[in-house]
Amino acid sequence: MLTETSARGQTLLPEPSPATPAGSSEASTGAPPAPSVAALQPPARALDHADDTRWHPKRELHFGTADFVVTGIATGVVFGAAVTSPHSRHWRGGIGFDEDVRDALRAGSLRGRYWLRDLSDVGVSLASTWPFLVDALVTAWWHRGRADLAREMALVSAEAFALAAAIQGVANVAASRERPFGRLCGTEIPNESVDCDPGVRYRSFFSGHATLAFTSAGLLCANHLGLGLLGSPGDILTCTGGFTVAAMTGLFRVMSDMHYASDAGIGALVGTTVGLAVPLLHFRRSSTEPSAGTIEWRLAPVGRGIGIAGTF
Amino acid sequence: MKRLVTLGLVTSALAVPRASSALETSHGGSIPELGPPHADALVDPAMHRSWSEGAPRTFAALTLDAGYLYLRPRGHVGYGMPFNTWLGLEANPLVSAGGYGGYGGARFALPYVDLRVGARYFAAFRHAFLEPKESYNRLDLDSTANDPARYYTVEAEVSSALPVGPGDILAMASISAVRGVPGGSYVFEETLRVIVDPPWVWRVRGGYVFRLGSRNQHSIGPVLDVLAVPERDDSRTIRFGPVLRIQLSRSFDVRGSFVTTLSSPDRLGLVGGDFTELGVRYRVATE
Repeated sequence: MLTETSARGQTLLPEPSPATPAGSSEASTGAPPAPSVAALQPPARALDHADDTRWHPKRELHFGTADFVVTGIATGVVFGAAVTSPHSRHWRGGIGFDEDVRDALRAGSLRGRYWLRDLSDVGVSLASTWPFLVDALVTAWWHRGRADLAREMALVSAEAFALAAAIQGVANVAASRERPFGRLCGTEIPNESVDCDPGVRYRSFFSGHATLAFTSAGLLCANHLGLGLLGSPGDILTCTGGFTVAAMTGLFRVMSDMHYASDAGIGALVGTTVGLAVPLLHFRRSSTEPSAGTIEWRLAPVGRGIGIAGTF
Repeated sequence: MKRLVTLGLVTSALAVPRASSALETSHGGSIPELGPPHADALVDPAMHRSWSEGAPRTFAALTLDAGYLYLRPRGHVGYGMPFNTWLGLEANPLVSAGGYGGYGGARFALPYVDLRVGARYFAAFRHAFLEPKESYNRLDLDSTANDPARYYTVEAEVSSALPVGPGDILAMASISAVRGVPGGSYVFEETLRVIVDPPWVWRVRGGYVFRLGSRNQHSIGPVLDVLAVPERDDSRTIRFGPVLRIQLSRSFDVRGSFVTTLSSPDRLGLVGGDFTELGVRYRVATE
């Protein structure tokens, strides 16, 4: 499908028309679409795709004004937590099975632990960018030709990541838990190192990598299964793959001695919850496929005036 | 009665726009249905599908790279075709988890050859100046024993992409002089991602990318990097890996770089590679 843009950076793919709920003001505020004079205009897809081949998902996503506010506040909290030193009263050591898991999984050498830490960075980096670059830009926009849906997906994903990271950041600062490797500061790891700096050393609870990776997995599953972006089996594979990458990322954080198992577990729980809940709260029934028994109202030209037409 | 008046007012108001549009037609009748126009008919002919179209001009442009924990805006002013064939100046701030700084320089993007000359300043948050050693590991790099690194790098780079067969041959060479480092110290150059005994670093890159897509707009292929620091013995670093670009539009493309270190005197892990993974690039320019 052609995806060139105009010189002003505007996509030539079908943009949401005033008649398309995703681009309407009603959609942005989350209110149900109401008939308007704009409905007199033919839908944009009818202009750009005479045979109406534009892809319609099972549902639409709607990102409203309140969501911008929530995302902005959450982003502020994330930056605030990042520059705030962890609480001066530190929490040290494992709880429950933490120490047993650490003994069983921790890599034996420092070099091995750094290597696993790098792998966890690869995992969280891939997981965090996938919902934006692959799902929204490549799949929804380029493959499906839905710039409007891609935008909504990206915004909803940003909100989910911001919320999850804000929760994790506040917990990080408040709990001030020493990372498992902290007991090695001054021995195997020099005190004068980045890792033994209090700003890094006391941020174990809970794992940011696990939180973000599982947030991504939740988003992938919600978007693919809820919208049907690729169809079966692509959607199932993407969802499964997302959780596999997230689980491996959390595991590598424990093996690299950066977190206890409880840190990774809580991160997985928070991330999955936020990653699933945020898109689910933004789903709306696709207005292009009204369900049986619903009435769709439209304004239509009649003679020199205007009338109301309905589809029953 | 009140309802009837209200209904009449609303109906009249709704009829006005329809009547107004009717006056714009020659006969006032209904407009004949001619079918939907072709998509291109909706586009202003002054708009261009590609940055390589149109007449050479004076322009201002912006390139924005974004990905996991980085945002790199880059401004360009010059004459020619933005992002294609042009001469001018470019500058960008550098802000990352590792530090802050900026780059400014001149750019000569000619057909098949792209020359860049400029200077880059960087102030590291994490990395400090390093005591001279034969080899470094991550603990050495993460040491906070010395002052945080502050340095500037003067750099010249020439690159080329020559269409051959189903893709392009990529070639690049650069020479850098790292300045501002205290005598007897080394420094980790955050952009080149090598530990430098100042001042010189040279780098060459070669590769081949296959072009894919209905308009050959996408590309993927392997690249090989070789870097050396002449003042350090056995300092050669070799990196290898795939790079990809998925061109979504004139303004948007998704880019990936997975070039990891194969050989180096240092053991820095991913920190020592050109491993930016997936990111998005947005480009915009004045017409």
